[in-house]
Amino acid sequence: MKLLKYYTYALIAMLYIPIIVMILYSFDNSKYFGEWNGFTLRWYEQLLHDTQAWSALKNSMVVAVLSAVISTAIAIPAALMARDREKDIVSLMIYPPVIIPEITEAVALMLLLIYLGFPLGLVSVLIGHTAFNIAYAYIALSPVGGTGARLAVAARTLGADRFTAFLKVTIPVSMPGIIAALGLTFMMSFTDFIKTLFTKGPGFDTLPILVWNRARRPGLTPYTSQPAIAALATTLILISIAIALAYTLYEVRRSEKQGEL
Amino acid sequence: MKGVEVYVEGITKKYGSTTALDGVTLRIPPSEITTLLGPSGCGKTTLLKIIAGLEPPTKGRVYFDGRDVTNLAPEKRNIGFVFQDLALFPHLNVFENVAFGLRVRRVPEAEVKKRVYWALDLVGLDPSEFARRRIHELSGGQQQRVAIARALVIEPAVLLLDEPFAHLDYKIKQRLLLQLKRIQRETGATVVYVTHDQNEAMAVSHKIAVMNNGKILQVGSPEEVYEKPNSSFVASFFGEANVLPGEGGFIVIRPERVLINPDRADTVYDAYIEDVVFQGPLLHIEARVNGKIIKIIKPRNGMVVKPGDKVRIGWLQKDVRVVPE
Ligand SMILES: Nc1ncnc2c1ncn2[C@@H]1O[C@H](COP(=O)(O)OP(=O)(O)O)[C@@H](O)[C@H]1O
Ligand SMILES: [Mg+2]
Repeated sequence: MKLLKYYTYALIAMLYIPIIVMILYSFDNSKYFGEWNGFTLRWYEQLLHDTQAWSALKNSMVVAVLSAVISTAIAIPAALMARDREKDIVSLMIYPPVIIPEITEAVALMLLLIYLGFPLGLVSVLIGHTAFNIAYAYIALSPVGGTGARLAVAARTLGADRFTAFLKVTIPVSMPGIIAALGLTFMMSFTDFIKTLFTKGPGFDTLPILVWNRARRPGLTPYTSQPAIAALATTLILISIAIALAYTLYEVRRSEKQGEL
Repeated sequence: MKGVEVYVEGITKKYGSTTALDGVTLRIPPSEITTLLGPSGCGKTTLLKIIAGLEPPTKGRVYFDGRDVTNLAPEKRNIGFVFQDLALFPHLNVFENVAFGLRVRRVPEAEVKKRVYWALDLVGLDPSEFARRRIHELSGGQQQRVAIARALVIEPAVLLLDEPFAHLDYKIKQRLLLQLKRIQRETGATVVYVTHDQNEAMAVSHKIAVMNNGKILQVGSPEEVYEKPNSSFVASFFGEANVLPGEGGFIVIRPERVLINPDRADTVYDAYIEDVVFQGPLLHIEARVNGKIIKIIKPRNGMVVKPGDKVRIGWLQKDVRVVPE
């Protein structure tokens, strides 16, 4: 049993050590990774004036927000389908994108976009993200979808028309699932690298792409020194943690009010 | 309030190759409790949903007070529906759940409060204690009451209840059944009550429609259906019955009508007592006649039989019912 305990500790250490080391070196007053020259915030100050990073953050946000909203909106009607047999078929069709290797999806997307002669840029990246996010949104919504549809029927027996039932019952009842779907798809999109790389045009960078561009050719400019890259990557982690935390807080408060789903 | 008369005429409902309802015609009298009684899967819920307008019939018409409502949307039928799984709104508290139907009808706020409190009182929930509660903070029986209050508060012309008490303890169920009867008397609503439990049906109904395999087999008052079952299925499903092969089909004799060592009877057999079970004031006796078990129910006082006793059993011709199948 003791062995198992140490094994678990070692496992957790392996998960976190690289990230902790990276975060530490983002505060390192040196141009090179691994050479500790004292604490500094200069890499973060530098980020504030880094127009490339700001533009990449804006691109990431725009793509992630739009993709989350669009994919969730598209997935809601599918998740609400009340009839179980049809629902089973939809569920069966919707899972494969989740298990197909991302690189395959990315290549397939790229080939299709080139075949169609579609201009590569924000819109192509958005389409790519959204197409696959629909599957994740559906999965996040399906636990509440059946309930939402069932309760809408109850609302109609009480005199509500279809639209009122949808607005006053289905949407609020499905809200935990909608929030989960928005959060999940936002994160999938915000942190995506491979699909973005294959569907973006020249000059359109998201944060993960910028990290990659700089990390593979480090050290040439102040922005591409190793601690500067560490600071940029740490920022990316902080944004992700903030969103996950906001979601957790929402879910805790909701379940206190409404009970477990 | 006066309930409407519901008339369903020649209703057939098919789901793919399944026939859930097969040519059902039924007149549901106004301001009474009519029970749809039948085993699970016989089409009770389907018939209720068609009356409510939640499912379209494949064939047939639905009339409320003679008016054809077959194609009318459910929200325009002025019904109350208590679902098998209650379908309470988890995002609203008890007050707002009950108020829902009033709010969509744009009833003024003061009137909403008055009527919600009236409905909660009617189902025996103290408004000052329960109005602000969350649904998940209620027991099963309390949730059941909220569901009934929510359906009643809009003063529906027809109140449809789909096995509302199926999952409750015996005692709570008895209390709610009595309450339902009182509420029906006080409101005068037409009530359609669905159950697979013959005891609930006996306790609550003015009229019972016994269903099987998507068909209505017999309609009548509980006494009529009990005394004059028209088939061995109805006889066995509604009350206990001895069904024996006889001339022109089967004969049905109720266990309490079987006589032990009778002075006078039209039919008499020699029998052995197989088993005697005490059930409160009654004895449930099983007697063997020519290899066949006859069920007998007798009051306990004065009855002294025990397993192994050799007795004569019999019955009067007037207590026998002949059914074709
Ligand atoms: N939505 C549906 N799709 C397919 N079959 C259904 C559906 N609803 C009910 N059925 C079938 O119709 C029959 C009657 O069902 P139901 O009315 O629910 O019976 P009950 O309420 O008496 O238990 C059953 O065989 C059931 O499987
Ligand atoms: Mg049912």
